[in-house]
This record gives sequence, structure tokens and C-alpha cells, in this order.
Amino acid sequence: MRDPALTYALVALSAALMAIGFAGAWLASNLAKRLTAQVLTMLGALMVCVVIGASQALMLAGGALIFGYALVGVAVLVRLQEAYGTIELQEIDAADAQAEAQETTP
Amino acid sequence: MIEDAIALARVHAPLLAVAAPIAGAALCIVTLNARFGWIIGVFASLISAAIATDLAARALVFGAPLRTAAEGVALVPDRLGAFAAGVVSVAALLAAIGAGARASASRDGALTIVLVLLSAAGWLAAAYTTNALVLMLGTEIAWLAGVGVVALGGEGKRTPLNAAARMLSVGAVGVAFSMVGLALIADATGTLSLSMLAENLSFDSQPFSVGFALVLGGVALKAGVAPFHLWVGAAFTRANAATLLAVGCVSAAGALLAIVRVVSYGVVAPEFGAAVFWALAPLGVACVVIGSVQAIGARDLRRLIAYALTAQMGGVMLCVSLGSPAGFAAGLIQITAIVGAGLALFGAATVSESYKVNDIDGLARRAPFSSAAFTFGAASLIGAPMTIGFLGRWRLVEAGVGVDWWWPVGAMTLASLAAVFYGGQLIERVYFRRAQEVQARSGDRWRYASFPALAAGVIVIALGLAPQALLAAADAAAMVAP
Repeated sequence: MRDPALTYALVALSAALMAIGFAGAWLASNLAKRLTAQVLTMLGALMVCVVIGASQALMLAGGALIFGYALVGVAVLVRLQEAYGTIELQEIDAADAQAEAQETTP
Repeated sequence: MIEDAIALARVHAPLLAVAAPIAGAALCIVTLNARFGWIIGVFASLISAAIATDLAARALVFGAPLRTAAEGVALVPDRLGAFAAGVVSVAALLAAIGAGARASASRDGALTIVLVLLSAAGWLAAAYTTNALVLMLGTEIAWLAGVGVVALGGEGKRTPLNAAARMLSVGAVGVAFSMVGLALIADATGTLSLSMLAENLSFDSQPFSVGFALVLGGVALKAGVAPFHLWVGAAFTRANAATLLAVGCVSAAGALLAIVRVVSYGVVAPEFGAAVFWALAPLGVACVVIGSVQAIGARDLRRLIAYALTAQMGGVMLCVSLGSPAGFAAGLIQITAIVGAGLALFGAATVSESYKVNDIDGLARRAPFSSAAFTFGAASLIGAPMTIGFLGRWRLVEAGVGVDWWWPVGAMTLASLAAVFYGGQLIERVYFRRAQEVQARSGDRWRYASFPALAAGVIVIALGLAPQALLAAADAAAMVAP
């Protein structure tokens, strides 16, 4: 038997975690921080599932997806660091803009 | 003996169609040889496409019942899923062949083919299942594979890595939406089986509505539906053939078909019909307007095509928002048109090595086959008569007028007018301009691997001229809806 007040509190807490992660994933300029924020967003969603009492299959699938996203994210980060020498989004965007300008200049 | 084997294969057809690309990917990754991997990939995709189209033809054209294995692991498809898998598997076959254009680079080329195959397997699993959780898993596996395809698609340039990071951000938000959405749906109905939603739905439908909207939002992010298409421009600007065909066509088709299927089950409950309409119709109009404006302003050819396809997706959203079998059938035809035009246009851009819009000036004199594919694809985007694009729009008009619903007809007219600008521009440049400066071609003959994708241009016209089988299949598939 779940206490409704506790359930609401936990849902609110999970939603807050999702919101913090979402804001970080949107605003952080360092891609490692952005990846961490993405994982936080997904963990918040997983917590909502746990609090609501979702099936084990959904929670297991959610956990596997979070792991998969983190793994691919780290792989992309490593390649970005190798290619650009940085994982700061502003520096990467500036390098891309410069490359595009050089391509279009005759 | 052979007949027994075929009968057994047909009973397990959905599982085999999904397993074939996965087995192909496993073989590719063992060898990590790009050219061998390409042959394996094409063979696996061919098997998958043969099985999926056989199942679709039997179920939708000849009216055979969809039988599944009584024991063991089985995917239980519906008719809409059979149609979806047929379209996705054929597009995946052409994408796997086209990915050979990347096969010249050894290790990354092999990995690209592995990821193209896994992406196809994910979308096929999502098409065949009637369980919302498996649908989400298939979608996410396909999306992650697509991120990998984009990341490896640099061709010596590093920009696609930036695009892959953006896709990952969008995907993570989509996963969060989908997980919470599925939990809410399961809480409201006690099941994640799409076919049992209506039976188990209580009158307290608010959690279901919120969950349903979140799941739809999660899939829409992956389809590249405007205004959720933040990743599209970055992903396609410097994309190679594998990215253009696998992500631009197969993923777009898979995600759109997933939206159609989810909605077809969601509107089983009448009280959700209006909610679905108000969720999808504004999205459709936004998609048409934003995609069209971006396509008209684009100077990069690949980006122009991607935004044009986004604008066309608005038509699918409008069709589906009707919530009727006629609307779903129109949506299926519209998706087939998008895939056909996308394959033809992206294939032509790859084969002719045209990357900027002015690269195609006077192309008809230099590359007649690519020019023909550009023409057919652009004509279908415009909705010119005798193309499948026209057919999709006509069916939407029929479905809309049938329920006195005129404004989506207006929206589609607007989409066609906008398409005259960007699609007409392509045709005008190909045939009526002289090249200011002809770019030297790379001389890489592997780019001709994308040549079969040009056949999609012929299919676009052939289905426009003789649409009976497609119309019958779409109508039969759409009858899964109420």
C-alpha cells in the first residue's frame, strides 16, 4: 500500500531531477557535463517509473537504454576530443564555422 | 521438403526479417572488413526485404491471415506493421547497398555497415511488435545505431561528430519522455500491449493521455518532425551516403510509421480522438511551414532535401490527426512517397557528388541518370500528377473533405506551393542552367554503390501511374484502426 503523499513527493523529486538534467543538457557548453545531464534526465525518468510502480521489464529496459546512451555518448566524446582537441561546444561550433567559411571562400 | 521449409519460414517471418540484419551485423563485426561486410550486409538486407515484402503482400494484397508461431519467441504483427516493415525493409536494402559508397575506408566503413544493419533491425522490430515496450526498445536501438552512422560519416571531416552529439541529446530527452509515458500508460491500463489498450482503459484517462502524448513526442523527436528537428541540419550538412540513406530515409520512415501505428491504437478510445487531433494537427501545420521555409532558404543541397522531407512529414501528421482509416491510409501513402523521394534525391546527390545547390547547375548534360532521379524526386515533393506524392495528397484531400475538414487541404496546398519553389528550383537548375564552375569528381567509383537508390525515382513514378496495389495495401493496413 503506497502512501499517496509520499508517492507525490517522490514523483515531484524525480520530475525535478529530470528538469535539472534537461536544463543541463540544453545549457551546458561542456559536452561531458551535457552527457552527465542527459544521464540525469533519463535517471529521473527511471525514478518516475519506479515510483509509479512500472513493470520490471520497463525498468530493466530503461536501465539498459541509459547504459547504452552513456556508452555511445562517451565514444562520441572521445572522438570529438581527438578531432577538435576540445569538448567545449562553443569552441567546436567556432571551428566548424571557420571550416565552412574556408570551404565557401573561392 | 522445400515447401515445408517455406511454410515454417512464413510462420516465423517477422522474427526472421528482424534477425537477418542482426546476423549480418554480427558477421560484419567479426571480420571488420568493409568490402566483405558490404556484401554480407547487402545479402542480409535482401533476405530481410524478401521476407518482409512477402509477408506484406500476402497479408495486405492477397488477404492471407497473419499467423504467428504458437510457441517460442515470436513477434506478433498487425497489418499496419506488415505494411510498415515492407516499406522499411526495402528502404533498408537500398541504404545497405548505398552504404557501400563508404566501404572504401576500411574499419569505419565496416562499422558503418554494421550500424546501418542494426538500425534497420531496430525499425523492423518496432514495426512488427504490438507491445509498446518492444516498440520503444526497437526505436531506441535504431536511433543509437543512427547516431553511430552519423558519427562515422565524416569522410575526413569532423563536423558529423558534432551532429552526433546533438542527436544524442535529442535522443536522451526522447528516452525520458518515452519511459515516463509508458509507465503512465501501464499505470492507467495495466498493460503495454497496444492491441489491449482500449479494452483496459478506464474513464480516468488523464494519465493515459499524458503518457500517450509523451510517447508520441519521444518518437516525433526521432522522426525529425518540426519543430523537434534540431538535429536535422547538423546531421545532413556534411553527411555521406550511409547517413543520407539510412538516417534520412530509413529512420525517418521507421519513426513516422511508428507514429502512425501508435496513434492507430490510441484513437481506439473515442475520447482520445479529439486530443490526438489537437496534438497532431498543429504539429503538422508547423512542420509544413517551418520545413518549407528552411528548405527554400537552404544553400546546401543535402540540407535542402532534408528540410523538404521535414515539410512533407507535416502532411503525414495532418493525415494521421484525422484518426480515421482513410486518414491512416493517406498517411501510409504519404510516407511511401517521402521514402521514395528521399532515396531518389539523396541517391542522386551522392552519385553525382553534388553537395551545394549550385553544384547541380547543368547536371543533365553531365549525369543524366542522377538528373532524372532529381527530377522524379522533386516532382513527387511538389505533388505533381502521375507521381506518388500526388497520390498521397489526393488521398488526404479525400479524407479531409469527407469529414468537412477543409483547412488541412489548405495546408497541403501551401506545402505544394512551397515545394514548387524548392523542388522547382532543383529541376530548373538541372536542366536550364549552365554550370559556372564544374567541380572535379573524386574518382571514387564506390559512389556508384548508391546507384540503385536512383531506382526509387522510377518507383515514385511507377506507383503514381499504377497505384492500385499500393492503394489496396494501404487501405487494408489502415483497417487495423477503428
